[in-house]
Amino acid sequence: MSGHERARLSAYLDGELDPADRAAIEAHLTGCAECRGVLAELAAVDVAARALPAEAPTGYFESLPARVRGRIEAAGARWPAARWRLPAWTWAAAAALILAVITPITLWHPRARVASSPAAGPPREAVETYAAPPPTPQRPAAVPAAPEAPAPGRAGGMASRETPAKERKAELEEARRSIPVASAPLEPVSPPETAAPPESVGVLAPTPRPAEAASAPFAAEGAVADRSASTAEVQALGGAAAPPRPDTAKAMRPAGVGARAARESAPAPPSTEPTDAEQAYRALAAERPHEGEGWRRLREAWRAFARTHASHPLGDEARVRVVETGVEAWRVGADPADLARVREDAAAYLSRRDAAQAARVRALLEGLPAGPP
Amino acid sequence: MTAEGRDETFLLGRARQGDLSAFEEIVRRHQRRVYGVALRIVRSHHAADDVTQEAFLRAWRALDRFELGRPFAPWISRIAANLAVNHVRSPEAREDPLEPGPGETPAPGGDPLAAALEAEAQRVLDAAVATLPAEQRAVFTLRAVEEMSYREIADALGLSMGTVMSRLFRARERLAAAISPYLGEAARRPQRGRS
Repeated sequence: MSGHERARLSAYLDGELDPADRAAIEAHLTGCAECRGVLAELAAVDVAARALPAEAPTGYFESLPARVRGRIEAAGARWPAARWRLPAWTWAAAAALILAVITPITLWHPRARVASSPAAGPPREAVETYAAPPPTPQRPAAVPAAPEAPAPGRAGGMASRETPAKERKAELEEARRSIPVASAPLEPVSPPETAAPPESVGVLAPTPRPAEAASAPFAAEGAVADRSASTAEVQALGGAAAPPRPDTAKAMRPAGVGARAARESAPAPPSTEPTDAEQAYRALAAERPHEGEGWRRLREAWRAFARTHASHPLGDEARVRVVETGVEAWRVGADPADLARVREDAAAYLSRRDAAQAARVRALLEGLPAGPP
Repeated sequence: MTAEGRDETFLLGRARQGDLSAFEEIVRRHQRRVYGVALRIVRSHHAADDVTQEAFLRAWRALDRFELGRPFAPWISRIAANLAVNHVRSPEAREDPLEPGPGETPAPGGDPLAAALEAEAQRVLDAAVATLPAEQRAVFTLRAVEEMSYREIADALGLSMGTVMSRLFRARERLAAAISPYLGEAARRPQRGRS
């Protein structure tokens, strides 16, 4: 029997052949003892594979749900891609749209201003139109970036459409006057001149700048959470390997104006502890030392992590990993000092009142030689 | 909330609204399956642990894309299988041999000789599975253990149906060759009896 036909036997076993092929295989099987034997072997492999133990160390499953929860909380994903939030790319698309509307306006401004008043005028008028109400005139641009608060963004967009009419009126007035003196209706009142350029730039970029993100918690956190959620959706459903880091999140946005605008305007992720901790955790968790010294270094790295992030949800996991990597160091290096260290670390962990994974650590201890080294 | 005993669709619905306790219960119900898929592919507890956690994290983040009422298990298994295959493909991955740890020792049967043979066959099969290329191992695990259809496997791993079929057959053939000396005693006879 050829390899191809044997492959069909495998598919027959799984019920994946069409009726004609299936009938042909069954007809063949009735007269071929060898193929019946092959079929039996293939089936036996499956049966044996299902019986293979795939057990985790004792206590592992008791602690896993809480650890997953801790990582979710640490990642700041309080909501699984909340349905009422718009995906990040929609805000990027909105930014691109606003950009397309505003750019011509900003290009008109200098000529109009030069003709009417060299010091101030339409640019500030435009700024006033966008953002006259905010109490902090330097930062109104952060408001449209907040997914939780889409209304201000829409209001800004509508206001921006009003601006060209006023400017055109100004241009007409200017055209009528040969050398006009700054007239009262065009003279800006409220914002200082230095506020104008940042305001204009800010309106064009609907995501907050890093400095603004720090002082606008709702906007910054919401924007970052949304981006990571949408990226994770793509990765989970598409099966990408890389963890959802901000850089890969940007790379995976759909191509086009919206994605480009998002890349250009997206702020750097705020350096909050959860993000740093999560990244550091992943880096350590990915390490697979080959020798005892490597495991010792990893153990100490976990210890440092646990110290740095003592109250973080990942802190407890790090403390357990100190013990686990200590066990690996001892197993690989067979150094009694490592074994003694494991016992010390395990005892220290078990003495904690917040030891959430005591069963896991006890299981590690049970796997060690009895008694002190 | 007390999530114990709740209907899975109800729990997933709660989880989609941000109820972490409900999602914890989902994790509790599926963790062994997910871990099993991961472990069979990545072949080390630490890596399987990482894959398992990551699979649940991604499931959480993509929950709003999950159609309530459909079975959650195949979905999370596919995520885990994908992550596990990608892990094995990654350059930093090192495939440590799976050491029997606490709870991994096969349960002894009534007949000591049969139990010893079975244990030995399992050990040989386990070693043979470890030598399979990761792609074959993933396809074999998803079919033989998770009992996914070829279509589901193809979708999960981004393969054609023909590739699934050929990889699965090659994996089975290699594993059958490895354990054939034991099949006469343990598994082959009952199969032949049926045919």
